[in-house]
Amino acid sequence: MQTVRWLGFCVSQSMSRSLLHFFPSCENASAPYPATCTLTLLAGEGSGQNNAVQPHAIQRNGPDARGAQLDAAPPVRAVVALEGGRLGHPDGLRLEDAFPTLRTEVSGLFGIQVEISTPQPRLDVGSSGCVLEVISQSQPVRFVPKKLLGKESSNGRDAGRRGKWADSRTKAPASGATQMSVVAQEQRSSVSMSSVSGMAILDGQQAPSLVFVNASNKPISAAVFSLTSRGREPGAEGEDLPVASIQLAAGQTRELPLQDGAFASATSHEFLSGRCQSLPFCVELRDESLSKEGGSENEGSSGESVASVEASQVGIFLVHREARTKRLASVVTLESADF
Amino acid sequence: MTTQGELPSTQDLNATAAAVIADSTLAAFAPDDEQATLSGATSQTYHGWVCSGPFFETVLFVYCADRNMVRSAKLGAQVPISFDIFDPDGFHCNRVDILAGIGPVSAVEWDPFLGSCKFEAGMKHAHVVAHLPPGFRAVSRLVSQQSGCLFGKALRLTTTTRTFMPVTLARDRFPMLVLLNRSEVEATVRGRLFCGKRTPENVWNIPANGSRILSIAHEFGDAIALEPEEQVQAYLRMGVRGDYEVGAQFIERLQGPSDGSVFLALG
Repeated sequence: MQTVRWLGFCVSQSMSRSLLHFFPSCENASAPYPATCTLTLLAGEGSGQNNAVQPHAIQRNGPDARGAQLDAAPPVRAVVALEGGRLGHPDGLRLEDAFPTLRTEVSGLFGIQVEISTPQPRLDVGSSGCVLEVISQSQPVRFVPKKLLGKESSNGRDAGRRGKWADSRTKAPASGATQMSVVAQEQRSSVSMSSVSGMAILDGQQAPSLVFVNASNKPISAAVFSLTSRGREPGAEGEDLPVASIQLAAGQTRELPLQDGAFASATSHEFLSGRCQSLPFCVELRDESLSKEGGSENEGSSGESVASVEASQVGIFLVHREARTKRLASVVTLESADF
Repeated sequence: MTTQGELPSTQDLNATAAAVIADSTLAAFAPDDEQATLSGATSQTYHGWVCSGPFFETVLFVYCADRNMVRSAKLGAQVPISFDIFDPDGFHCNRVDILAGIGPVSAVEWDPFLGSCKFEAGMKHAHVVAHLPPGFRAVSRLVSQQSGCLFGKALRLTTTTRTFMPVTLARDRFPMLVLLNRSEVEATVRGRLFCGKRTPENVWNIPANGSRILSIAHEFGDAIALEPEEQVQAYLRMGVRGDYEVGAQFIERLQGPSDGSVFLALG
């Protein structure tokens, strides 16, 4: 593939700054061919669309509404292309240097898409790497963002579509048939991404939360379910109640703290280093726009499948913060829970 | 619970297991092999690095991540999970079997199980291979007196896949690299540090099934000359040439408040 993408988040606050480290790499060539790193800063924490550039109009009515929505990119704040990179040579930068608005105008959590590409048609940059680093109160935390397995990455013929994600100023219109084909492709490729699982730890030092980055062009809701059996009759009928839930506008990034109440069914452990509670959980994503528009008759099956498509563009990160200072202690990218 | 090698008594271990096994170590797991079952669920073999040391150790948590399995499981249902422990030179020094609940989280501290493990680089550490049943996952947490952090997936090094790690060089930071050989043959890892205009290279041999923990500052000390207050951003690029697979993790110890240590992990 000529392009590889990741989805992560960064923090911009008075005591925090973020860095990006990237490593353009190619399996089938060792020469330092040129590579470009394109950064897309998504809309921030507070409002998904108010402060953001709306690159494409989203049609909500009409027969091709779903295709038009998928064709549209999420609201983005800014796009920067970094040229001069070389395959096999790691590099990095402060995100506030790439996006000066982070330094002055805004603060909070922001979603960020990172794309590494090469103009060489036969080179495969799929083995490239990316690491995000957040330094809060002079202490860093690093994590590998979610690698996106979109249509660009999967079919290798992505040059024409790259602009959709990389540059908010351009739009690549597609015919209705092509759009539906893309929908079907994404449903197949990302059906396993509709839920993710993880395990949160609560102790006297740290408190967990989940950071959601919605890089899709649709509003999405997420519900967190406990994976413990405590407090529930075995084989009991009926749906579980989520321990936490959140709604995200298109392009929005939000943090959902897992409060003490969520740990009511957690397992307690006594270690030499102290006591802690562990809560295994899964996160399920639902398509908000469909539940508003589609009515109840399609709510079951089609809602789930469309959510699967969109879920491939949603990054979920398990974050542990120090309870006293709220400083980030660790960030883990969550993965699919389907078996 | 069954064990081999220098271990606590079976009674002790049973008591430990009943308390969902507690003690401390360091481990990080990444899926290696997956085997599909008729139900569509897959069993997984996980490889991880564990250690028990005076400054930090890790705890391994095992849990069922399949919501349907948790919902339909009988109260108190358990499944067997086994761990094979290889010392830094790849010698199979122990095997641990536990019964993990479906619903409750099982936590494993490794210190009691590393009795016959060799010291290497000043600490006891080992390569653990976990055989997880379908639907189960393992995640490990680095624990020190003042902090803890969860590990993500270990980075993979194969003939076709190189990887990199950002390294911040400073007097008060102690970056460490963990290499884990997941193969039955000795692996050679080549690492190049990109530090300004200097790009020193080093080669490390990892025995079959063995592991190594390396101090970046020590390995590249000749090429790194830091002023007392200086901080340099560098990158470590790693690759292997051969038909084997190596897992890589990065651990960094920072000087925390009131003379304590804070750790961060990558991979």
